[in-house]
Amino acid sequence: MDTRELVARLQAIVGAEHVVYLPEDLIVFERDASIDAQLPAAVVFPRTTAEVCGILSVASELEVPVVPKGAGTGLSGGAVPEENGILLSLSRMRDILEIDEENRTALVEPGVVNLELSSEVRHLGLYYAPDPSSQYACTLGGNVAENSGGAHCLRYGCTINHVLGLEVAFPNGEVAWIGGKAPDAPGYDLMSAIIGSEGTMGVVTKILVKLLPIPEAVETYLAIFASVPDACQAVSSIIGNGIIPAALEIMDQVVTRAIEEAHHVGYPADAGGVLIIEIDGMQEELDEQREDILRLCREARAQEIKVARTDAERETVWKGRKGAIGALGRLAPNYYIQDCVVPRTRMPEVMRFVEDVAERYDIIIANVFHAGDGNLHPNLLFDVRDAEQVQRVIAAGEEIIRACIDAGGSLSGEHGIGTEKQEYMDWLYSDEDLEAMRMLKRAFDPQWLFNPTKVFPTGEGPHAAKIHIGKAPVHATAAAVWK
Amino acid sequence: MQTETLHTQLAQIVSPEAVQTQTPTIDGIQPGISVSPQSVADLTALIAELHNAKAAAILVGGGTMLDLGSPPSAADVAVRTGDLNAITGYEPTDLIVTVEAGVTLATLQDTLREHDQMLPLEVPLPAQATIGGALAANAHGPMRFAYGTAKDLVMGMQFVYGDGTLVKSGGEVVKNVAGFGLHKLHVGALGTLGVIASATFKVYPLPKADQTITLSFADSEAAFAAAAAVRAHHPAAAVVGNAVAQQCLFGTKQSAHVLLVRFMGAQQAVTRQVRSASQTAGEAGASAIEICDRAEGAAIWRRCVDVGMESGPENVLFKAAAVPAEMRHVYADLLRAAEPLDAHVGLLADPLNGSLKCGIQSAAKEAENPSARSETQAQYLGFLQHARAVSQEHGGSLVLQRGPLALKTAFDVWGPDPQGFGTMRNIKQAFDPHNVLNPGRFVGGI
Repeated sequence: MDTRELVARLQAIVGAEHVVYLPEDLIVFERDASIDAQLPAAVVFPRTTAEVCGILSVASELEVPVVPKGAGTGLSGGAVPEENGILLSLSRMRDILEIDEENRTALVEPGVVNLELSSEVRHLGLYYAPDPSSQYACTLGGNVAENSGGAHCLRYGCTINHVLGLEVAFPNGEVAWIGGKAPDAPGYDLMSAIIGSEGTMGVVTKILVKLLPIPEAVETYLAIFASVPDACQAVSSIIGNGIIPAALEIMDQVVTRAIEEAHHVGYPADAGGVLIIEIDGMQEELDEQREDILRLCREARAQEIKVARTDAERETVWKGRKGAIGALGRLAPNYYIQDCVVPRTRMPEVMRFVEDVAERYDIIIANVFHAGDGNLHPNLLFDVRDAEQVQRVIAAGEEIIRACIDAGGSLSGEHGIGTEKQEYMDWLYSDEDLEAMRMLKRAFDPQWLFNPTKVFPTGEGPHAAKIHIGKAPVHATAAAVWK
Repeated sequence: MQTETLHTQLAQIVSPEAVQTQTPTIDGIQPGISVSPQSVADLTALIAELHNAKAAAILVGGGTMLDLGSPPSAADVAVRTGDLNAITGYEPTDLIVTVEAGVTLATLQDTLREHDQMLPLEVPLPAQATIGGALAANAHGPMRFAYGTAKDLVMGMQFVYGDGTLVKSGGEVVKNVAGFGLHKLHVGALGTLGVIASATFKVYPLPKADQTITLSFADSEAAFAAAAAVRAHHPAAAVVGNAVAQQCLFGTKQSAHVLLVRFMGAQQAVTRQVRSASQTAGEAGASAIEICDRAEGAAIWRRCVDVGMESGPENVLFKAAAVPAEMRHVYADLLRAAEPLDAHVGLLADPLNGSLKCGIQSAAKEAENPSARSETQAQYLGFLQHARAVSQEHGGSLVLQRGPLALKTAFDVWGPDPQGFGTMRNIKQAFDPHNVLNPGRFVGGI
């Protein structure tokens, strides 16, 4: 492919000032929040759906790979450019196009920041429920690509449960509206295929989302346990007793200490495991749940239960939680965050296994996770300059993934597969399962141009994953927004 | 291929007793053979054989929704999944259940209820309807306002696609983004992309309280305005029904229009919701307000979901969709348009979700002469065309769920090809290249 021709064609579509192609300018676009990196041939910034379609037509004609990108907060490499490819940034498409109070919907462009939407509709008593920890930076387009979750998924579901319609530019340059405010459009549910497909099936150019009424009451508790497995037991019994709180989040001591140093939010320094419990809804509902939850925590040997009494106290609790990963930058230059999900009843034993792995491999593993969903986030801390340590981290990580899958779990709850987990996909799925997924991608993208080297195993075996970690930068990935 | 040859070959795959000649009729077409696989392995071998033979399979679960879809373009074999009826995994404390496709909704709900849990999916005729059929038809009811539809509840699936390959998608956990959402693509696909072998759902605790209020209104505008106002009190479900619908629900007409609102949750919360909603509805012009207890309410909602599904294809049933806030216009328009019909036209609208169910039953005497019958048919066709136009005008669509074959031939069951249809056709081609599965029954002739 002739890069000069590509650049000229892209400039003709969006204007010269909206194409970046000089090597020194491209460097800032080489990565997302994962540990992989790659320079693209060009970065293009369309403003309209028509421009997106024009770009896709050029890509198709010249057979150039395309990677759509939102804010680049993704943790699995979904927005890392492809070699000699186009990085299609949606950052200029950032208008909230319509707020429909009567139907409780919002129509947005993909570059709108998650939290910005909730702020924009708060005066109507509404909000957008999915709340990834990076919500003040990540975009709704990126959320759709990854089917992002967040702390409040437990009660309210992930992105896929809140999207009503999408305008999609397909790889062949056609545009289609799928879904909408009216339910049950006839035909296959393409929306469910596209949401969570990690930019492999097309570019989402408009998103229609559901808005929810802000709950009339919220209560937040911090339950302190001697250990993470004890906290897991409490979570398992709360759910098992038919109570689904808004959020159930666990942090271990490594995490709470790092948060304390960074944010001073008042987490107890000596607790082995801290469980954040948030309940919301009607006041009477909270009244009914509160006693049961507190009792179940005590039965699971909670040492102390603190309550966030004011909105300000509650915000502080969440500021600490959502800033957790960033705070880990204080402990080590690099981290490798995992995202497995296990059945909730298996959490205590899996977390004991994680502790055992940390000890055997002599690495620090910091745990901060969506316990209510069984969605674990072990963070393996390391220094990439120490090659021997890197090997230990990889081996330890693989043991944890294996244990989660053996416990009936999944590889990823919300971060996606991307490049980071692609070599493990065949641990979870058979060749036939993976081929069916490839067939689906080909139905959307027959030329295999969209994020072509991701999600599926490359066939190089788990070693490729090791290389990805090995390529990590020396500087700390410590920005506080990265979850 | 000759039916007899196929019969012999299939009998070698499954046990000979599982191959029969008793088959259901679908839109006037009767497959020559019926096969009931006894295991998932049977099912895969069977579909592989049909793929090789390029034979057409009609998929049958409980047989309650066989009228849904265009008349099949071919029908050699009825594949019945009813014997795949094991609940293969249920861990109550994980709120996760995995069932084979042939498990009936009633069996599943009974099992869950023993642990004070439920699958919040309202499916017509649950004693016969199977999980596989409910997923394929994307069955749902008004409670979707609180709990979503099948695609929100299904976390994983095993299915056999057109060449007999068994595939797993998703998993047995409540949150999962590993790989693509193939399992969700089968929801509402009418079996045209694969035969569902088993499915995993997240389930919910049974709400502690469940109450329904019945509100009467003289005009439909007021009923819909009340529904909109009551939404502020967080209902789980609501419907507005006309006089004919009330006959079906209660056996008697209560008023010109009735609004039913359901509240589910904590006891004290529901008490307040019922109180506040009753007051709100009173201010909105409700002439009578009745509060039903849990059992009464459940029975009424059951009938809301079942209504129209028990009758034969001589009656007409369709589902219309519209932007929720505009459903009142569709309802009012259809009320007017139904007046000239010599028929009982029941309207049951779901104002929160923007969905409407309409049933038409002829008011004429049984012994109608052929010319009168064709006149009736022409009237119904005109009504359906009008109803589709009105639904589309309000952002929605219309699907004819059942009706006489002549009507299903004259009126496109699904309506115009949706946007993205080219991709849909690619998907069908990839997963069922020999067009084995329910051929011709889905959107755009898929």
